[in-house]
Amino acid sequence: MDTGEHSEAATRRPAPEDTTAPFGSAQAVRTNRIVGAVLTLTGVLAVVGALRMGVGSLADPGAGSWPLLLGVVLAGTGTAVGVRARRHIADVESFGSATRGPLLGLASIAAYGLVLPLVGFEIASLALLVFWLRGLGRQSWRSSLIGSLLIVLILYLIFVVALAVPIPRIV
Amino acid sequence: MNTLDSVLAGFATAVEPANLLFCLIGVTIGMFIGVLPGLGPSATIAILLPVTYSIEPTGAIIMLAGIFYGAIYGGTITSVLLRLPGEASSVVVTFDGYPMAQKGRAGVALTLAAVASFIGGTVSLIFLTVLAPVVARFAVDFGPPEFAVLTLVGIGLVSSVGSSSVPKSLAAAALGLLFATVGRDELTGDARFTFGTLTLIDGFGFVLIAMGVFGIAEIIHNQEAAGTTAARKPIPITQLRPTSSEVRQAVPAVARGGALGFLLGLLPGGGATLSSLVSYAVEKGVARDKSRFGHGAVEGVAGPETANNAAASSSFIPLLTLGLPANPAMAMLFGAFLVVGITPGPNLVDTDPDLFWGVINSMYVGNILLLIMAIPLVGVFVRVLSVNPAYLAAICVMVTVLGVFSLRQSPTDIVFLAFFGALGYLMKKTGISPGPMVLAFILGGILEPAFRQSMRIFAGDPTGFLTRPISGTLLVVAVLGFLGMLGFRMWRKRTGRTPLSAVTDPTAQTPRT
Repeated sequence: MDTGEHSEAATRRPAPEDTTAPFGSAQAVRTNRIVGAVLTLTGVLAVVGALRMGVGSLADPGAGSWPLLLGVVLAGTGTAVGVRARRHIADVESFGSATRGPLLGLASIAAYGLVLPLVGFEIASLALLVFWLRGLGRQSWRSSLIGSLLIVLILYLIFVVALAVPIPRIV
Repeated sequence: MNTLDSVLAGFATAVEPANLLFCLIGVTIGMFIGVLPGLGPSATIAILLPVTYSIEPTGAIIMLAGIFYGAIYGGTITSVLLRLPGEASSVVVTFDGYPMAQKGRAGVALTLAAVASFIGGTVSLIFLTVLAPVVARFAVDFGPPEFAVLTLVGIGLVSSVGSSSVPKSLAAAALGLLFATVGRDELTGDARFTFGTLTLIDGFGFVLIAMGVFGIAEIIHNQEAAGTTAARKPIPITQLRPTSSEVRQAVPAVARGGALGFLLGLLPGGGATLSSLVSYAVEKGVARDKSRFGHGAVEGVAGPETANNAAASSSFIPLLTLGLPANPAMAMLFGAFLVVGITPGPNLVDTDPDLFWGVINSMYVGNILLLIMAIPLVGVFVRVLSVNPAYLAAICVMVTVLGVFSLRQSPTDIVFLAFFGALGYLMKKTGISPGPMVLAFILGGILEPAFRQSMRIFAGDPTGFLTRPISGTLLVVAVLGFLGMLGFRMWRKRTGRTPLSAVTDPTAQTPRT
């Protein structure tokens, strides 16, 4: 359990110090290796997809020719990133408990897209705003609710009344 | 109609009340987000891209351009008063602007910065006015091979200049080009990477990708960093007027910074941030007493401020005359042009002279507006910092989401927005700059057809790129440039010193008080 606390403390430190600390740099190198592997894999998948589309010939390049070239470049650069994982670690930020907020934020946006046709603009927007103000922004319930209502009203006036965007809605 | 008539007609367009208002709105938003650390001009333009659907094209582009160069003015204010650069292009100004403020010269530093910005922006615009039609005339004869080489070189330069990891940036560019291939193949009609569904048959929209990778990712990333920057009290402004000796020090720096900024702004991958860094290095290099730098040297404020605004103006030349965005912010404006149904390129000056000259000339107006606003309204803009970040983030997210929805009335696009937001966030976290990806995505639509058509023209012989005079010259210049950069990197490694490393010295020398 002490190691868990250690990693927590390390991830909370601002990025510049992280790169000098041995723990942070090991994490950054590992991140670089994973990034390299993901990029290489994406490149290989692109090559496979491109070959299926038909490459054509040099004189008449087919639909798959250009994606093939890109897949090769992506796999090559991805491999370079993975192999040279010890370099350029200063730009790599650590993942940790602080990453939870951004992930929840992204999920809330995707959820908004899914429920918008079902519940309409007013309820979906109110829910998203309250989540961002109260949940992610740590505002008080009072100001979150009043703020959300106000923002929804203003957005309604801009997007529905003024710009006439056909958003699914109750009113 | 000859060029002079068009230029004058453009001024008439620029000062139309509606366009004047859009210009004012643009530069004010620009100043506002320039002051705010976190939200940059590319993200702001991305978030506001859908607005271009509902207002008249010229006004829309004038406004978005205003956001771009207004942000560079705004970033200076907090750099000087709080040592808190609002924009990347203003980081350099903290080196000497903040020490000047500590010595009670805050007002002087801001005045110098504003005037230097104005001179840099305006002189660069005059060159833009003269050169743009000439470059466009020259480029009218470009065929597919020229455009293929030009866009490829552009993407390559953006990925290599000013990026810390070249493989990462190149991978980002390749990824952007791959995203551009999704959907129906323009030349053969085959469906590509659509996974058998119709959802992706039209491909990804540029606005969607830009809003996700720049807009949402930036908001989300700030969410994580929120609370780390404690509120500080800005240094009060006392005297505004520089002494005559300060003016004497500033004038040559302004001249050098302007020339440097103009040239670097033209270069793909150059732009405001790089030119401010190089200008600072140059000023320190030519100064007799280098020890003054980092302790409030006037040239360290005047030079870079002139350079970044000169670069901001000149980077419009490749965009408006070749249809080649030289940096991510220009890629956003390129996207705005596409949204209003205009493809910027060599013909723009002839087919849409009102738009072309209206946008350019609005920047003269915008620079004057900024000069007028910069000093008297400093207090107002500093107060912007006290805006509650939670509300700002929530409002930005809602505007982005509704903006994306309004484009195609598709709720699925909001889910894709979250996907590209996640991609942009992961890229930021892993040290891959999203700029090359977005730029490559937008240029992919030009590069791929140009490349494949060229190969047909050459009957499958790729040496054709070299034997055609213009594309060959471009390629040779690009290869020489690349080798030069490689040599520069090796030299830097061997000596452990670079002109740019001089830039990082002052922060190390200045004790944090």
